[in-house]
Amino acid sequence: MKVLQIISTAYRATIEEQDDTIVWLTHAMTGAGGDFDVLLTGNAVNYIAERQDAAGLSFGGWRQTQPPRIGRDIAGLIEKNVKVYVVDDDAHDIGLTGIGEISGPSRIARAEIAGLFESYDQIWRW
Amino acid sequence: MAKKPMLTFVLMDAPFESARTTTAMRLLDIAARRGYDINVFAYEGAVYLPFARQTQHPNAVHGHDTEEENHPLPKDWVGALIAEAESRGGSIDWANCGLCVDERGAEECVSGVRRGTPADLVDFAKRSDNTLVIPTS
Amino acid sequence: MDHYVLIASRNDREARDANYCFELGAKLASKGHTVAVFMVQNGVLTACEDKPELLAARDAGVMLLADSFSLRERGISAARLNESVLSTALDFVVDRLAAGDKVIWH
Repeated sequence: MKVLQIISTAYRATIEEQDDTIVWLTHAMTGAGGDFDVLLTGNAVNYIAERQDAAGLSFGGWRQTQPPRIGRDIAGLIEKNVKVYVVDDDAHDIGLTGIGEISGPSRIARAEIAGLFESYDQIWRW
Repeated sequence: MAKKPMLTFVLMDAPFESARTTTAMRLLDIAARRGYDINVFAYEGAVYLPFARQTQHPNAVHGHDTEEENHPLPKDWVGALIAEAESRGGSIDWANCGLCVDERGAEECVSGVRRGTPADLVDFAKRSDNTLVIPTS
Repeated sequence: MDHYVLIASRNDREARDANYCFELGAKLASKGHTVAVFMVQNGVLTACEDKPELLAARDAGVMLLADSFSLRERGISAARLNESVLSTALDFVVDRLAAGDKVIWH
């Protein structure tokens, strides 16, 4: 069973969780034998930006020692042979034109999403 | 004899935050009344849905005491759905994501709910006829 | 040919991309798949309007359904409902899940 994970919400509780929880879940489920690919859409297309840096937060005497590293985690999925697609229209809208991005994701036009669905048994939108 | 359907639902919302919780429960109720085998993977805030310490309260704006207000508690919904499924020859295997439980301190849950992991979701999905993820936005 | 149910749970007053369901549905239908858009929660408010995306989906052969409970919860009578939309019980979604349709929540 092959599943396409659509991730459209971005930076939701990523500081508290030290991860994007759906990117993390995809890693964990892939490790458990699941067959997943990822489509980044909406604000989540920004996850392919290279220099995301949330380090240095502190509240009073508390300091975050393990900030989220979402770009690294996306690259990690690609290393595990999870295909990562990015909706080109959304990326273009926010100035992601190919420079300063992690390598590996495949661009796909919004108009091509329907065709992409045909390759998957199930579509899980998060 | 037709094979009994098995469905998996993935929930994410904490109680009292979103209309999605009610819709999710309505879907579970329909499936439970049909006697389906149902799996629920509760992720993130949804691990609080079966939290045992939810408590009713009065409502001064409504002029109701606690009993009159009879405030809904999702933990009671979860318990009722598990019982309904069983009474109809089906089942609900409700797995709370364990790490989500830990970070939220949500260990105390109603009977019939167990701790789970992402591997459970993979297993659920592989064994089910279908899976519906209800996202948190 | 695949069968799709796109669950439209929001309207475009609360989410800019809420009407993408209808656009996607029309695209899937144009590829020969059967598609239903099932509006639920505030998504049923879209059924009260003549949104171009909704009408385009209808014209592409997408079935347009609105959760009867969500309609009643919001006091939406048949008079307010776009004539292309059918008030439907949520059981439809469970039926289609059990049938193995690709069901996607928006």
